[in-house]
Amino acid sequence: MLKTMKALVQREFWEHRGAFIKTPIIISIVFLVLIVGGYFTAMFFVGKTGSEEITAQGINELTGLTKEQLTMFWSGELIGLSLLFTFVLFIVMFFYILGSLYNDRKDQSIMFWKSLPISDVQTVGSKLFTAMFVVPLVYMAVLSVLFVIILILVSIALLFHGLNPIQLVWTTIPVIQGVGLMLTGIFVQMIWALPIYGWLIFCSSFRKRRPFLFAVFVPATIALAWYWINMFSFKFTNLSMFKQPLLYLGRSAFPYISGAIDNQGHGSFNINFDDETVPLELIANMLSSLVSIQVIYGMVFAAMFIVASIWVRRYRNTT
Amino acid sequence: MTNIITAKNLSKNYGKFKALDDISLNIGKGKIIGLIGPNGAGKTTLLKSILGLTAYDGDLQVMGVNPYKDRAKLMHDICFIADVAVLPKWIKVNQVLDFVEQTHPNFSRTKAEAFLKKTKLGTDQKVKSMSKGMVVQLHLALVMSIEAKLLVLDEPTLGLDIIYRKDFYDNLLNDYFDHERTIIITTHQVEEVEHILTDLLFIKDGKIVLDSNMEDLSEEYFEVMISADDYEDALAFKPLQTRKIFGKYVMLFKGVNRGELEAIGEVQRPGVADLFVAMLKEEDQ
Repeated sequence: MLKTMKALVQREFWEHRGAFIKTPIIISIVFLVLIVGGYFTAMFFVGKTGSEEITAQGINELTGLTKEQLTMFWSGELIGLSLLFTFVLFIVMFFYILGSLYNDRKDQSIMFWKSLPISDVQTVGSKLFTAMFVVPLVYMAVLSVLFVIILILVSIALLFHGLNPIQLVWTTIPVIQGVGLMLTGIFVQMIWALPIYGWLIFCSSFRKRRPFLFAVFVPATIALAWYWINMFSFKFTNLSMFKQPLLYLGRSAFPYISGAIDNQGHGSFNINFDDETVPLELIANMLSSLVSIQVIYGMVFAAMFIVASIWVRRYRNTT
Repeated sequence: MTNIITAKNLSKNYGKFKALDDISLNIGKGKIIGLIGPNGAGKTTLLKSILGLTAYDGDLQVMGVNPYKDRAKLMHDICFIADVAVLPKWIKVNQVLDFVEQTHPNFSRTKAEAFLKKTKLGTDQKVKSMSKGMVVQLHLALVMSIEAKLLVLDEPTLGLDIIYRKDFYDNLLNDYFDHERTIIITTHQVEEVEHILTDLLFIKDGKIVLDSNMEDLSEEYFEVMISADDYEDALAFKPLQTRKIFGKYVMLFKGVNRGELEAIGEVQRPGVADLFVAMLKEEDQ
């Protein structure tokens, strides 16, 4: 059972190496190139203009920072990178799930997969498990490596200017807060994205062709129809059918700010950006957004469509 | 004799259309069964029922298991191929070996690797880069390394060159089949499989119109080559079917004394395809 699950997840990585592993690595490389390129460009102009005093002034300001301020700075860096990674992750998972029960029907290999002693619950489960846990962990692992490389590069640059990287970098990193933030991010993203994943996997197993169009236009049409019907009772501003899906989408794409707007649409982003516990506050803010009836609605919605997609896979996708 | 498949009053309706109409049959161990029928006769529906891929009315037991309820469990002992030429494009040889090894308890990797050694396939090669024939070799290597009690082949060689089709069935018979195993084959190219079959099942309009083993068949049905002179005499035996080839007549008889037929012409075992065509016409009359 466990062996089968492992093989199924491994299978997903074989098929989607590019999306699961190469994508975060390429983003990291691009990022590193930008950082290093930016540094050397800056140093080039400093050298040309001979304005060594700018560098000196920079060094002066840097050494004047307190440990808390440095921690805050690194937290900000980490949060910024995580925002980028979770966003890309969501986009990648969106298309991965949309194809997960569709691609093997399109290339007709479904009968090969079905000829093995694997239940359809296991098949569908392995795809969701991959999307909800395994790939997010891979993305966060790559992000962690990227972050460490950045720290090393910064340390080298600091040494070059005669500064102490241990004092300025390595003792100021909020490691536990950072890891906690990334793990919470995965969890919160998973909760908000689950209804979307459920809908997508249903489209993936249900549609004979073009699951993307169906996945996008059906909800959009329903929302438009809802708005139109409401117009007849002069409710021109009833946008709830647009707002709700967009809320789930937004929170899934940017889990770190999922607590920024509450369900009434009021801002609830009470984070004090002036201290070194920003990641902790962000964690608390994210988790507080989960205490909501919408999470329950989302789970019920997701469960319905996941069960439906298993049923379709089992009894309808048989050729 | 142990029955691998037992069906009692098996039916399947798609709306008003009866894909399977009250079928009862037993399939024993160690047989190679040819399931033959025209398009839309219910072949695939019958196979799908056996594989647990579709619901049905009536009673069906495959190796003592209800296939519809316990499909995943059944797949431990069944191996089936819908189309040998289709494997996922992105997978590599060693990946597919890994995957089947991890998920199929009755798979022997050693065996599969031995089969593959005889081919030109590299372990790192992707299905995408293989010719159709190579995909068939890979699929066969996988299937033949699974210790299955029942192998179901639904038009396995559709769209393949004649060389691969012949190789496929030869390998199947020589390297795979033993009397502990059962194979069910559906195909349109009956001539290619008839020499390996032990039993025949003809299906038409959802009904079994013939369920016989090959030996009984050759004792009951005769094909006789008759010269034009003996044509009138031969008609007295009421041939099921008459064809004219090079000025001679080829007639198919059922249940006629062999000695009497030998007196008027050269007696042979009829081809399955001819037999099938004749039986369908007989049914229609």
